[in-house]
Amino acid sequence: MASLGQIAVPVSAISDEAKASFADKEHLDIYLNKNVANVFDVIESSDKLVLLYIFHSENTVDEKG
Amino acid sequence: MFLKVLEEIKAGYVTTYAIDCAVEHPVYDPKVNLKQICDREREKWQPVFTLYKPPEVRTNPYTGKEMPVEPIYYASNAITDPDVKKWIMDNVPDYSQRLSTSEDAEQFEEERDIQKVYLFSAKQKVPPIYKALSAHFRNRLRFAFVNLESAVSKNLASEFGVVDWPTLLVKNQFATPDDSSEKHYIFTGKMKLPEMIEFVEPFALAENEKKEERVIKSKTQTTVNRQTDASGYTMLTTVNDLEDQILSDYFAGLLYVAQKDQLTHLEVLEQLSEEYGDYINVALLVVEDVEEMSADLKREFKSAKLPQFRFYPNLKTGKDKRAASFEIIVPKGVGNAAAFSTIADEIESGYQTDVKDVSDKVYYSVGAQNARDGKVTVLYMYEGGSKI
Repeated sequence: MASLGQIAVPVSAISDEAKASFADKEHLDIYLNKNVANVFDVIESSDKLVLLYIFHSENTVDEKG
Repeated sequence: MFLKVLEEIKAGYVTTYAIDCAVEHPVYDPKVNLKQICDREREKWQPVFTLYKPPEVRTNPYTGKEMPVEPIYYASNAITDPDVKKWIMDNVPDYSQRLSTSEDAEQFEEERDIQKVYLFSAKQKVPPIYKALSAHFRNRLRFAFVNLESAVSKNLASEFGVVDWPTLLVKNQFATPDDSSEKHYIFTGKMKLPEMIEFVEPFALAENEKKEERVIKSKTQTTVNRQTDASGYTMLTTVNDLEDQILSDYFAGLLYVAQKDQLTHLEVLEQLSEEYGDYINVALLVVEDVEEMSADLKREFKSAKLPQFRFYPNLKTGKDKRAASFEIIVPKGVGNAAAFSTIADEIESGYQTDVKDVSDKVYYSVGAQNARDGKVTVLYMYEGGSKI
């Protein structure tokens, strides 16, 4: 089973990310909430480098909780 | 941050799948633990991100097995735009083939029914833009990289009339000496990915005409050597690779050296890799030509005996590690289970460890001393014969 690396991202970055939208960026090869059921199979069949980015858009918690 | 970097990089280098856990998804991919990640408590939420690099050679040339996609974890302490960009750009897969010698060029030329793209460059490394181009047209075009300083660069540059570096060109593979069609086409646009894609596209095979993977021998060797098999062992192609993969590391090492057509214990190696791969460097050295490699084998192992398993103790590096290494004798003709057991016993007895088998009194003494020395003591208790 594939495992995922996890790095704590600075809170400011999280907030920015949460606010930013990955939607409608397919011209940049960015796909939001696509292939969620079988993303690893899609990754395995790709000839290109793939970035898997899993985030929570409602997470606005800062470092003080 | 990621979005900004991805916008800066533009399309063609990396495909991003962004999954928002705030959205309810009907099905989650269990292979990447998506459900568990998304279900974490919100106050503990941190984004999770991983790059997945496809293997540059899809099939293990020695075992015929598919090579796995490689997860690349972000390793830098800081998460800055330049670091993230570098992390991505450094890992763009490279499907081009480096032509260093005339043999490489001849092998690359042998395939006749697919058009060839050449990049002549003064750079030592294949630029990410060319890697991205090669990924875009994988198996629809073949890509060569010719470095200015390589032995073959002068001849190839002369053949194509290349005077400027870098130069990107497509050799018209289907032109015959008699016809009037161009023998090659030189790219005159800006070195931008969309322009380069537009230039080579007309020469590419259609998606449904894709060729099987084919790489020149030197590419197989250098590439496979940087990849690991699905079960986690590293593949070495020369004896010198031991230096990087086994001897330079404080971790213990286990090496299986065997002839290409006599890999009788490969399954055992896979099992050992699964069992011990987290803390032992497990490697396979395939000898394609025994005569050619004989001198190297004797120099490294004091004998050219094949096949053999060797154990390299942990906590040593370089010459010391080589000197302390030893062959694990696996009796001839034994089955995989017996071979595994023999090798596992040797690994466990050869592995250097601080673990002491102690009584409760000794434990308190060791624990007290460690505390005075500022060390942490871990106590593992067991019953009867169920040791660690």
